[in-house]
Amino acid sequence: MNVLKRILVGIALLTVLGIGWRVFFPGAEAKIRRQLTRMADAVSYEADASPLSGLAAASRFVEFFDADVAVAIRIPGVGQRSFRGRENLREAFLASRAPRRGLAVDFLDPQIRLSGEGEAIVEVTAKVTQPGNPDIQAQALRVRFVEGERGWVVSTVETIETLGR
Amino acid sequence: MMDSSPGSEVNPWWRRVVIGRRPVVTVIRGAALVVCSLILFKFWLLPFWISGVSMEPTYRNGHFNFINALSYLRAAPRRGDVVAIEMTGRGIMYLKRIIALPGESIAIRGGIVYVNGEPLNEPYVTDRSDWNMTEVVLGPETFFVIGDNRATDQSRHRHGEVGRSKIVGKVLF
Repeated sequence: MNVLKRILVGIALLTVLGIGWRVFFPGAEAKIRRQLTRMADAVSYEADASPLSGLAAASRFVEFFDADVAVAIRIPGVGQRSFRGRENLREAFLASRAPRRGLAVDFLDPQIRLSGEGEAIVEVTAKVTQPGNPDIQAQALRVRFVEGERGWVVSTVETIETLGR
Repeated sequence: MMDSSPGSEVNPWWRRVVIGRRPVVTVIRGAALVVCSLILFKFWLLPFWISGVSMEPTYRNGHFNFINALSYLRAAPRRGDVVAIEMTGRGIMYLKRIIALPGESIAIRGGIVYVNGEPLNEPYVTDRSDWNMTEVVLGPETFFVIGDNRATDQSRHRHGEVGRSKIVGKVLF
């Protein structure tokens, strides 16, 4: 019985150590996943959120991006949108909040490929829902992250067409 | 009144009902049930909620269904099959109908689908808008999928070519 107890305590200790290691010393993948979660939180907002909170959220949001970020995305019913730089990104972000209908964004199924020193290509599905609208919008994205002084930041974003033409 | 019969305090009736006479066997049965359920619903019958109107009237928003992930293990997808298509994973998937197969040509004119130049009979489509698409010839291992709801604006409706590897399985019901 004593041996069994020791084995169980040993397994429990190793599990705690493993979890602790991952929490305090996260690898590149874990850091990128965390960034994606934070980005989703920053872009989501409640209906009738104040414009002031929108400005604060915009400042928070653009911090996830490289100064020379390039975005090329296709929005259903709107068409292709391309822009470059954090200032243009901030404007697009504020424009997306203008209707004040509320938005909930989740990044699902991230497939992270670490390629070379300080660079990662992430394919992820953005799930977008709006309060009162049963339709879910989903779009696969290819996001390039680069590691800099501020940690992992986004340098390019483009849409992946799951259903091609 | 008190029950003083031997065993009734040691193993009361509710305990026998919840845990059974042999707790170890019950735990093993429970664990086996959990493992079987995980395998069944993770790799074979994938449960999902339908969200959106793209497949109406055949599949309505808010309904529950399963995807048979083993349906194309031995057979190739066929025209008319309603399939789930993964994006970057299975967290969220498209639900669409296959209307053209590898190597076929497909075009849409005035809301009518033409496969290899012939109009496709689609009894599942109840209302058509004026959709148009120039003819394309599908490559090998490429299918053309579309929703049953053609009443919406074409630019808002996701449809197009998809590789075989992205097709997860066929809808069960």
